[in-house]
Amino acid sequence: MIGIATVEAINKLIGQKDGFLTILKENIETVISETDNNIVSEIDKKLEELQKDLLRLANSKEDYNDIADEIYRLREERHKALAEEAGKKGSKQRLEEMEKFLNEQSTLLEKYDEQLVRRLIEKVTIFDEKLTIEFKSGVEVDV
Amino acid sequence: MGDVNELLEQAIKETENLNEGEVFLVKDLFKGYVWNRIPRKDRLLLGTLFLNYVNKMEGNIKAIEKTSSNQQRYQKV
Repeated sequence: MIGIATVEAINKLIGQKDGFLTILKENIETVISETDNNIVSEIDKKLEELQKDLLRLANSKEDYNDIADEIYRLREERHKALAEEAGKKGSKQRLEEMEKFLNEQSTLLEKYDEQLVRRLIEKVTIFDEKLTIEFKSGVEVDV
Repeated sequence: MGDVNELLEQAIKETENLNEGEVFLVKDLFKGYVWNRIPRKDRLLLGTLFLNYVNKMEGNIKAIEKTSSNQQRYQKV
């Protein structure tokens, strides 16, 4: 039952492939534009400067508490920025995977394909009246 | 700064006990409870001083890539 539903959902996407590919491309572009690789290198530059300040203050026996707090805060920020970047890379990869599949698939599926389902589908939610198939690219199809 | 300089000397001395090829963080050069007693801001300063020392001396300790949590790693060569 679920197997048939997944085939139906994938075929729905293949059937509307042209419109869907346009949306996918837009989504990929959005992810790319939101990925700012400069954040981490900007933080690294700031950290380098702050470490120099830290040394200068310590050498002149001045209090360096605030600088130390700022360094720890920036390290935390760097960690978050890296995690966010990794998340965006993952999203882009999933969208590209779907794009690749749709570009390569010229005919509708005739039978359940376990490997393909694992590659494309994130989860299936069963409701009383329908099944919702959520693809890894984020698209949801009701069957 | 005085205390931190002492800690720096201890750290440098401790590197003598490392074997060639061993990779370490500055905190590995201290007993856990000693490291935990060092105030956070002084750990930071100690790390910066140790890196400066390593870069300046160009001896048998090399700074290598940082850990994912941005801690500087070193290797005895």
